[in-house]
Amino acid sequence: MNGPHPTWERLYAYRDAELDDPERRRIEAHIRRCTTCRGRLAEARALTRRLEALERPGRPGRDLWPGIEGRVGAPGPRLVTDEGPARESPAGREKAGGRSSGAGRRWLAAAAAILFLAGGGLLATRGGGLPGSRGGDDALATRGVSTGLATAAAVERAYRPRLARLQRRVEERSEEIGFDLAASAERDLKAIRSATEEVRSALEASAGSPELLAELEERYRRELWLLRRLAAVGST
Amino acid sequence: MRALEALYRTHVERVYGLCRRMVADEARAEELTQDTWVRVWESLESFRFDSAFGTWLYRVATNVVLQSERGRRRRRRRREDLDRSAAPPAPRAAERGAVDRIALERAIADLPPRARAVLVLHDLEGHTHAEVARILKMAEGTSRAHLFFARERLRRTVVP
Repeated sequence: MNGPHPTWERLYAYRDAELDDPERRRIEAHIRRCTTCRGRLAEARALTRRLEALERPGRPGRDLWPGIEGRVGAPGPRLVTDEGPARESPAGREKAGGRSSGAGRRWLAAAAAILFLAGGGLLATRGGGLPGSRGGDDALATRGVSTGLATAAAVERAYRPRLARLQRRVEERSEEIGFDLAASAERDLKAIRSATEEVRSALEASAGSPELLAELEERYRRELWLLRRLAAVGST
Repeated sequence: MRALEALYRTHVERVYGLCRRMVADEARAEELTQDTWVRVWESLESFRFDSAFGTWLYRVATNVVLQSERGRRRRRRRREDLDRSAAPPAPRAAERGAVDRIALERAIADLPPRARAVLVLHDLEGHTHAEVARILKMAEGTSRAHLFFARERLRRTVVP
């Protein structure tokens, strides 16, 4: 006896690997003996293959920003883009100065915080939850002296908790920091973190290299320095 | 405005991709992408950081598409009734791949809006049911039910 045929819903769940082990084994045993259900599973797979084969749309065929800008108002110059410097709109030149209302400041703070959250994701995805830092390293960091840490893991343990704490403090103070400074700092942080990743990759090939370890520490010190300056903006 | 442009440049591909997959028409997807960013401008202050920004952005884009669908489906059905009287010529073998893709995209666009949204977010954009539920503000079980409905409709329509 083959037992009852699984429903289409259970066949899709089987195809999506969402079944618990007992049910998965029952369905597999049934499919081995039932040509009808093998055919149904093949149909379900054919559909998902066709869906997966649909190409990703990519970017729009043209720059949609001018249309958006025209609908929401156009104060101020536009950013330089990958396509080259953007033309400044006549409305932008007339309306220099931007929004100054409380609502406008909150909007800019929200946008600044989102940019920082996007950048801070780099810290989170590099494997958080490390043990706490050692005491006294802040002074060494600001003096630019290598702590003589012997491995990349030790460097990471020394710096990453402090970086994570500073990142949170910066996010909390995003309104004082403001969008312009946040955008500028975000570009600098991206460059620093990109360089850090290169050094980390190099250390995978040359573990324990004193020169690379010193370079890694230097990258983290720069990031600490920048975040400390941001966190201190507007504070007494 | 520069803040909005920075966010736009960072996320435009994601928003346009969702809109393009929800509607089988490039020009309309571009319009809906613009509509989404205008809505973002109008409502960003209400973003409470109680979800990831990407989740919130997907929610705004999906709502823009779903709202624009009201009324369009009735008008499209009336046009299709008129078009059905002229049968299209059979495609040559070389065209069949493109025809299949177009047929699938049209079938997706013909799905009921919420089922379509779930299918696009889960099967095409790769979100889990938990993420889909957060984006569309529905229960996970509802997301699964919509997905099953959408897949079954497509299977009967496009799988030979």
